[in-house]
Amino acid sequence: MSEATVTIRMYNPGFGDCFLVTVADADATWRMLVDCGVHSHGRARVDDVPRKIGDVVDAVIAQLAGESDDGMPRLDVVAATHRHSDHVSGFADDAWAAVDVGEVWVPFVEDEHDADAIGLRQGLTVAATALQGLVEQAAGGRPVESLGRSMALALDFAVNSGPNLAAARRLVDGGFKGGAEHHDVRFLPKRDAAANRVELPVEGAVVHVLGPSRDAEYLKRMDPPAAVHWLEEAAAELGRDEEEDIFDRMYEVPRDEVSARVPIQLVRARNAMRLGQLALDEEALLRAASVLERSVNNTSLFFVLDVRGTRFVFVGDSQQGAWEHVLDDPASRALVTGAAFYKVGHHGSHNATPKPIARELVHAGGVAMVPVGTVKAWQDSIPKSEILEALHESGAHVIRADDPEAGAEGDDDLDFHAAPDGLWSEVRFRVP
Amino acid sequence: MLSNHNVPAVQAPDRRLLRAFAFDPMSSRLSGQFLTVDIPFETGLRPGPDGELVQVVDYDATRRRWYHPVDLDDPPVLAQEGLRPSESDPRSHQQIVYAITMSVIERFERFTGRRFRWRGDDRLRLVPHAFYGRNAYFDPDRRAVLFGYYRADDSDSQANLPHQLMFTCLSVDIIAHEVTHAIVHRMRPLFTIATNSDVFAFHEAFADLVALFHHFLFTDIVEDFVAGSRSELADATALLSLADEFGRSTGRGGPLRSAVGSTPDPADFHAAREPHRRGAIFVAAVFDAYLATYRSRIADLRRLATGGSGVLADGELSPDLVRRIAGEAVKNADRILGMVVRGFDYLPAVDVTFGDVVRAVITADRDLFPDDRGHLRGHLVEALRRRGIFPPGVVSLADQALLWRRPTIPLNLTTGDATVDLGQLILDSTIKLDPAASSVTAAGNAAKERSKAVYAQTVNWAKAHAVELGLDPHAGRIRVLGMHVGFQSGGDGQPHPRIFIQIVQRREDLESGADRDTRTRLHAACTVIANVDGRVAWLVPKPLPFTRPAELAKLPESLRAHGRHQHAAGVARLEEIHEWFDEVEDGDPLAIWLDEPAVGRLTFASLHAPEGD
Repeated sequence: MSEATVTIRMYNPGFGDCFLVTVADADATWRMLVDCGVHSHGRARVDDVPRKIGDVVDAVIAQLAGESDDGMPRLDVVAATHRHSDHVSGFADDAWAAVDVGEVWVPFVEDEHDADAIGLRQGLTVAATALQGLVEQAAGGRPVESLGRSMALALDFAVNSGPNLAAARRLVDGGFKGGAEHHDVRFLPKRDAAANRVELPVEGAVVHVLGPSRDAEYLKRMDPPAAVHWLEEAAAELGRDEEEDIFDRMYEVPRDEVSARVPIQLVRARNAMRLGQLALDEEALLRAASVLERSVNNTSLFFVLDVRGTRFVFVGDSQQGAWEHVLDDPASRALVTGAAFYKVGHHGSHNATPKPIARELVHAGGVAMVPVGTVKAWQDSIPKSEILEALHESGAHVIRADDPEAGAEGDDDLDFHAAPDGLWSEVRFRVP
Repeated sequence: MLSNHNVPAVQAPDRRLLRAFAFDPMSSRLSGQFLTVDIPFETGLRPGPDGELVQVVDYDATRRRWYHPVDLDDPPVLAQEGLRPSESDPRSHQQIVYAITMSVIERFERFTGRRFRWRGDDRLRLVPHAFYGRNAYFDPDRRAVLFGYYRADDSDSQANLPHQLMFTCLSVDIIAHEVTHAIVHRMRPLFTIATNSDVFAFHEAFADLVALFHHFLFTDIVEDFVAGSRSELADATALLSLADEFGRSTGRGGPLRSAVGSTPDPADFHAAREPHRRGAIFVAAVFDAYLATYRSRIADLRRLATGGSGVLADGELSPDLVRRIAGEAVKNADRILGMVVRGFDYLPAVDVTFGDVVRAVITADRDLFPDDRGHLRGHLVEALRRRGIFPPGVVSLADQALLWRRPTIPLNLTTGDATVDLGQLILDSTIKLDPAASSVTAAGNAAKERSKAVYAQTVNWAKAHAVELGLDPHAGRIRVLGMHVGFQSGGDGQPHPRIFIQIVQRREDLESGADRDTRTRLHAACTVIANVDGRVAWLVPKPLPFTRPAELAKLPESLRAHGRHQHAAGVARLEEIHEWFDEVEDGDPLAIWLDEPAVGRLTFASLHAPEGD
């Protein structure tokens, strides 16, 4: 058996994920792209100009073409972990139509024929659309920023969780070279446990798909989460004529008679309560928006690439909840701990890497890559310094997309490269 | 109020009777019954209704319009026990929120032995049609209970028509629950800071208890249930099915009432971390105690009715028997709820746990009923034990082990270097007890000045005894959060006046976060319970670590061990608070995106929002 190499290149679109994984030995080479997207507010800046996701797409395709014998860009697998802009927006780019793709891996929630998935996917999309409608209605044509930080954030979540249709269509309906006939779509994990262990052409290389969970209890919690269900209702009510009466007109004080008919102390009480601000419950809206954001994160494809016992862990944006069922199963837990590589979940946010096991995830000398471009509004919370510190303390190299050199310093054994323009950074592992 | 219609003038009545749905429009429609709510007759009640304690503001923020306020003193309204409740007449909605709120407040007054006033004599605002939404909540900042209304969807089993409008302000359960939140907030304002998983759980559980037991206030309803479940007197099916009505219409009482009537298992409470679940178990335990006392109280009636056989004859129950049994059920509800509510004044000022609640209820009850002749206390302790609720570290469930602590060395408010003039406090509290004294005369300017002076003296007293109270003599400002005299009746039928003082000390040095206004506040605190002669009977400290623990060595011998113990308890408490904050942070989907501590986002509105996440 010849020595194998695993090369993981992290692109830096900004606040978003894009990883090119290459497994090779003397006999075979296998390439996978994990995600390609950027958050609408989090594009990386190059000479103070935001980097376009198209630049990242072009760079990935050029790289694939360069490595190809006939100049045709090829990927064995495209994995899209979950339908959030910061993971899939790049797939909307038509340049992908020229790339030869063997298989597309998406979470089972994308499967239109999967009974478990239909309600969930639809519920999440409907809620996102309703949320966007409510926020825009509240803005009444003005920029959403004028409503304040909460509403702007809620809208971010809504847009991020929105349908992302162009990207989804390419992934699931066949938008790569050769069209739908040419590549297979795997909806993962399968109900049949054996199907979640995928053998790769490189000897001794296998992918274990661990999530998202198909556990009935877990799905029930997300389908659609009760905390966001009311959005639909509220949006439906907005559609109704707001002037529609809930009581007979005779009970209502005509607007021009308020001062004559309503005692002054009641009017004062109304004013003191600032009741006008109640019409849209911003806190509740933001809370629902964040639950929605988390629910979609928790549909993330969660898998471990295992090359002859050396393990590489990809978790998408799985947050607390999605991790639980992986860690509760001893076999899965053994796969995700003591790994050589960990793709830090959800850009390093606080509950996307369970704190109690953060120190056990990567073995000393291993690598944790953090796909993050700091977004000013979230700079104190994403990435969470405690998580990165815990990874660092376990002896892992913590490499951030926006400052890769800093994390790679001080270890001559680490096979590390970075593009001079900061577009990507890469680590190569050798597996005997 | 004197009417000028008749000569000589007719005196205004003591009571006002108003009708409400029993207990919401749907169940009222099925049973054909209304409640007749019996509340004090407020003279000078203005349209709204707008009275001394509550103010109904019927403004709809979603539709931006006012509805005409009802005048309950209008003769046609007075002559028929208020308007007939109707979903389509907003004025009857105003009447219902007013009536239920006043009846809940009056019950509190009775249990705590003092007249209820909102802070600063402000009024609680009730907004019956505040917004479109499937929610109703108490908003401490607005000093208001805001009721939403919404359109029924297919899943609303209590709706008669699809898309029918549903009003949260018409449910007796919701009103009683939300108003209780406001009352709890009045008595323990710092319970809005969730420093452990029980603080909000207690708020919820207490609100549910009061709302649940409000069902047992209406004798004719209880009679119907007793008559309807004739053969199962011993199983108390009647009471369980009446309890089961609770929260049915709200769609959100589900989790809280879920435990009522379930089989107790001590492991449940220990395993439960989620606030609603813990609250539900507490409610269930109190209800168990209620059933146990009820069964023992009606045992004699049952023997009489069955000639000693215990087996009832076929056919309808005798109306006399029904009346007697229902009477016991109603009286008992008052006894059990009263026991729990009386414990309120014995609670810590911050950071309450269910273990504290047990101690507070037991201590208060023992103060008033030393021999527990009705065996109420015994039933409650047993019910709590069977559900696993008792203070940590307690090795015995005898009264002695569950009581609060006596001062280490005798403490008195009226002796020593810093003394408090209790005379004025007691006099003012006594004047307020007189129902004929309006709040203006009772809390006139002179009284306000006097009360300020007493507060200042109490602060000095607390500073002089900081270590005894578990407060740090070298840290943040010590203030008096509340101080009053309660005149609760004891087992001997006599009023037992007690002075209740809440002393708090904010510890900014232990808080984390840059902005002192938005970060989570941490307080050390002590509730002091004293006799009217100034002797301190009980202390309920919630210490935090001392800034200079080394200085404890300089304390007099008699206090040194006590000081060290308070410091150690403070260290342990702070650690628990930090663990809890981390837990909340992890579970909060917004914590990722915002800097403010997640604990600050736990509000009544968020607790009452549709659940499921």
